[in-house]
Amino acid sequence: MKIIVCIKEVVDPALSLDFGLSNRVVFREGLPLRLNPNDAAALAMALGLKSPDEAAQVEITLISIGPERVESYLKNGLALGADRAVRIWGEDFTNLSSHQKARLLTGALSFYGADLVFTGAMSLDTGNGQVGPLIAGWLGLPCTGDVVSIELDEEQNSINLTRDAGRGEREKVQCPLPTIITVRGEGKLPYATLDRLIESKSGEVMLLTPADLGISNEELHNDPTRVTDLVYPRPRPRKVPPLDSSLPAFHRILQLLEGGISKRKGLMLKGSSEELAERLFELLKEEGVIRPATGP
Amino acid sequence: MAKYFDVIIVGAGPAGSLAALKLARAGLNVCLVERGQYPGAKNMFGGLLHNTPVLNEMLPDFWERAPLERHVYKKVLAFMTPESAVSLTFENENFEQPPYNGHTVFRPAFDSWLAAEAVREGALLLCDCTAEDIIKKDGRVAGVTVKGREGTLRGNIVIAADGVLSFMAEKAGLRKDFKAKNMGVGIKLLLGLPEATINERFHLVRDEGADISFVGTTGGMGGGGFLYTNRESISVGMVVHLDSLKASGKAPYEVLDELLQHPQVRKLVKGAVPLEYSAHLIPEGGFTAMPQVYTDGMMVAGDAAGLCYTNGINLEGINLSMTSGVLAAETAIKALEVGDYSARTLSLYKKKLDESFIIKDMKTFKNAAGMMHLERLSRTYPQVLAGILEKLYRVEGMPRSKLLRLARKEALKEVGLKNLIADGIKIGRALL
Amino acid sequence: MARTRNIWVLPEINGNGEEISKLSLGLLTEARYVAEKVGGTVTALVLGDQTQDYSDVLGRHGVAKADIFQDPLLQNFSAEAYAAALLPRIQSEKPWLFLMGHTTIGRELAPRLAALLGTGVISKCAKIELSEPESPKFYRPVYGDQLFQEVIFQTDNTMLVTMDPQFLNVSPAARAGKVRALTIEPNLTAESIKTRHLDYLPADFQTVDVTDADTVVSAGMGAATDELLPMVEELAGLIEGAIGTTRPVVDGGKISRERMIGQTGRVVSPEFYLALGISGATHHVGGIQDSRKIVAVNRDPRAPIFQSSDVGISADLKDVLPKLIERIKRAKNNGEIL
Ligand SMILES: Cc1cc2nc3c(=O)[nH]c(=O)nc-3n(C[C@H](O)[C@H](O)[C@H](O)COP(=O)(O)OP(=O)(O)OC[C@H]3O[C@@H](n4cnc5c(N)ncnc54)[C@H](O)[C@@H]3O)c2cc1C
Ligand SMILES: Cc1cc2nc3c(=O)[nH]c(=O)nc-3n(C[C@H](O)[C@H](O)[C@H](O)COP(=O)(O)OP(=O)(O)OC[C@H]3O[C@@H](n4cnc5c(N)ncnc54)[C@H](O)[C@@H]3O)c2cc1C
Ligand SMILES: Nc1ncnc2c1ncn2[C@@H]1O[C@H](COP(=O)(O)O)[C@@H](O)[C@H]1O
Repeated sequence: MKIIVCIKEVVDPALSLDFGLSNRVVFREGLPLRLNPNDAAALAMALGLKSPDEAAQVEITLISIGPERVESYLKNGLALGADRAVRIWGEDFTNLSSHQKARLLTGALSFYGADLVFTGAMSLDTGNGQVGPLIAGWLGLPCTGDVVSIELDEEQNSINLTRDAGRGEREKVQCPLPTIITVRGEGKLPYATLDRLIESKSGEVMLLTPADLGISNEELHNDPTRVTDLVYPRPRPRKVPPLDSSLPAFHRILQLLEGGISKRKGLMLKGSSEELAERLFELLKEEGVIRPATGP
Repeated sequence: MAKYFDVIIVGAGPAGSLAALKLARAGLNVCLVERGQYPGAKNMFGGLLHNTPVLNEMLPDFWERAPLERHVYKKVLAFMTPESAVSLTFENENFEQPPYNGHTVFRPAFDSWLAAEAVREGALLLCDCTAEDIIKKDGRVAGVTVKGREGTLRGNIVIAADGVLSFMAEKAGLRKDFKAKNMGVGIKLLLGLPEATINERFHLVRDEGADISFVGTTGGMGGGGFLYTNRESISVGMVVHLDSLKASGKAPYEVLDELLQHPQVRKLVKGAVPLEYSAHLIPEGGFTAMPQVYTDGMMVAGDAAGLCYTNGINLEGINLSMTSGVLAAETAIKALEVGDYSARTLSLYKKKLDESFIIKDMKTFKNAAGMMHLERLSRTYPQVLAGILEKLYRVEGMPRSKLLRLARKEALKEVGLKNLIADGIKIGRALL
Repeated sequence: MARTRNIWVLPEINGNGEEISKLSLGLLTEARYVAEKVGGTVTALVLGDQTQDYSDVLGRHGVAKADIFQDPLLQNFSAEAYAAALLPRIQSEKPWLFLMGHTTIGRELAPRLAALLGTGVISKCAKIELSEPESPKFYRPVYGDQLFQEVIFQTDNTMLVTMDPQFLNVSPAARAGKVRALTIEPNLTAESIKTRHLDYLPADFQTVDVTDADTVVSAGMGAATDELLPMVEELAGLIEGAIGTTRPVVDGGKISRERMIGQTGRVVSPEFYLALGISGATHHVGGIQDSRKIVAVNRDPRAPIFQSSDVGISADLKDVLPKLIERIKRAKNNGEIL
């Protein structure tokens, strides 16, 4: 079975929240980069289909559109057991849209052929989440989104999927191959062993250009949407609970500055750890978190 | 690919990468282990790559190929009081010629580039690998383990170039516990500003850059501030002593904020967009706080060896790191030639360091750390200077006192004669 | 040539086909704003196997027309089925703008339709700017809401947009209107729909969204250690609480991002919020204000979290957690609690 996993490097927004990124200056220092968490989950899921005894039957190709830097993720994927790594890049590439990336990946899929394609449900930085369903639409394949687990049913040539259907609900679906799935999750990749890591260093990453994929510049630049600017959002008003008017002005200002965090009673329980555990237990009962058995 | 290495280097900072480059060129089997996703990913510094002879020697055309921002043309020393600034500006046409007197750089870009040079020459770079412990064989360091990864990296020599907190040096028992008084903390804010505005505001053309050092901006804490111009951004920050920061009870960003609020600084950063804020420790103990730099099978280079100093005006680190990295590499090459990796052979490294400008400078500035703690330097003297100049420049329809007399009067008023002499001696010893 | 600017909306029906979801009311409100600005009508598309009459709600929210798609194959959401049903209608009616929620449904359906129609999608849109009605600008948050991209369409085709629920507001129209309903039977063929729905697994405390849970057990840095986290999970299991957490824990990769509570995470309002090893930074506490009861355990007696909790316990979790778990298990075993 041929599997393709599409992976992307993202700017981790968690680390630079305080000061934001700029639209005017190329942001060059300390750019916190990482593999898109959903893609790591997808890769982990794909690797999970490769059980050691039937290793030969599952062939995993990793594809990433990105500058040379992304080869580190690809090679790490090789070290973890993927069979082939492909990087797609063109000289004039900057900030490709989902549409353009989906075009390129569609080209690559036709080139390599696949029974099962994994993408992330969305990327952490730009969060479009369009790539998988777009490719599916163009190729007329089914696409299941927000998949959290997968089981292979090779005999019937189909897969059973569990997907996140929102609000904590999950849905089980069955889908014949070939198909595309988008994966949701944080995805913690295992660390490759040092030996495999060293081996993967000499592993090859195939570089393909749009021309190699038979995609002309016109085709690629024929994009239905365009990003025209990057702006700072206007702060959204935050809900502030009414200020306590009995407080002196200074304290009311403090309260405002604290984002209207209202103080609570703050009853402190004291005692030995046994006593505290018991008090907590009673509290859980009082609050109806755990229900006492009915009866006397 | 080899699984046993001639040399394993921990840390792909400037020290580690240049060492790797040197070793790889000598045809040796080098493994460079870096914890970041890529070299430089999490590294920061003020922004000035000083002119470094070993770098010029090893990569003679580096200023054409490396990702550099601007070359430093204008050096400014500014003594600040809360309301005024006295600046000395130094411009030298020699600073306009290659190899230049220094460049502003961004570490993620520069460190990646430097490591890539080493890889090009055959070094094996393993990123996302945090060295966790050293492996010993027959009492000598013989490799490292990597956090979370199965297997070990083994080799003849380990060079610890893992930065200021060097766990490798600690694991090898080469370093004592840190003392807050030997540590500084660097705080920096990267501010975006259009290239044209920078050129206009700092009177620069093309890729000329300015390096401004501020004295007296640390709210009485030992330390100093800096401002470097990059192509489309400026780096503003300060280095303060950890213990005086602690004593002040302030958060690092508050101290930085005070600098940014200074009327003179405010003018320089007007309209800039904050891009990134970062903080990092600096070994500032100087010569007296250096750890032991070698043991059986291992050498320590760069910040890990405490090779970084500040004299209150210059903060030098990268240049010392790279030089020490190369010296460690040279020593390793020698040791591999004779096939002896014991402390005795590796002591050559210490000797080389002692003979180099590094230790000479470190000794010269041995007292600089003490000087940095001098409250008067960062608080009182800027006031004195500003006071003098204010009197001098302010037209009040009165005869101006002679400058020197004025100076003495101002200084005495603020400091007292005894202190003035004592400080004079201290500063003289540290800087001159 | 001026074209009528009709706006289509895909409201989502909650759970068992009962009601239009709150998010969808926000979509209808947005569509009405746009329609008022550009002078068009709002059409709601309702898909299902035997759809109820939603004219009332739709009318109240300014919908002029409702296209009701009925087909047994539309019982459960499937992007293939939805796209097959909608495609001919979009092709013949050529709506100017088609709004969906950035939900499981919208995320899968919109790009699929875009592929089939040869148009594009702007996803996770926060704001539509109509100062030039003929060329609207769409703003979408990127980099964890730190910046907004301004995006435009450069096609005359239908503009497909999925709206980010967190930016939608619900506000009914001033006057309720009459809805013209049209029932359409797309007659889908089973072969054309390859994905097969098997089953729904209802939300349980382990999967439930933290914002929907009655009990939230939150693990901060003090509780997310390798030693303590399994215990926290066990406790959450015992009291059927959803696990929540703080940002540093998420950044460390221990718990997934969608469980992060606070200013940049989710805002929760459970009946019972148990804060374990959480210091109580305003960034976090800002997201738990509406909890009915907040109980905190932290070994630092001066931790700010105690200022924001109804009951505080200053103790080491290493001591208290095992005992609490033990106590609950004992109570379960001897029938003291259910
Ligand atoms: C605010 C500030 C401003 C400064 N300004 C200047 C200046 O303007 N000019 C100047 O010359 N110097 C300056 N310095 C000093 C300079 O940054 C350092 O001296 C220099 O970076 C030291 O280089 P290094 O290679 O020894 O260590 P580092 O640059 O710290 O590199 C160490 C490397 O090792 C890696 N590492 C650490 N631990 C491990 C591990 N266990 N396993 C694997 N890898 C590991 C790190 O990720 C890092 O890449 C400044 C420092 C600060 C903090
Ligand atoms: C712009 C911005 C936005 C942010 N948004 C969010 C947000 O949305 N949500 C969020 O959560 N954070 C957010 N943060 C981070 C926030 O500021 C705090 O850093 C974070 O909430 C602290 O998490 P913590 O309480 O888990 O960790 P810590 O602050 O490290 O606290 C751990 C606590 O555990 C206690 N503890 C340790 N061990 C034990 C033990 N054995 N037993 C009992 N107690 C123990 C300690 O006393 C300590 O109080 C944001 C930060 C910024 C700058
Ligand atoms: N540059 C890329 N290279 C490979 N795959 C990508 C790339 N960008 C996006 N993808 C895939 O598409 C998914 C959704 O991305 P996005 O549309 O950016 O949210 C990601 O999780 C990846 O699987």
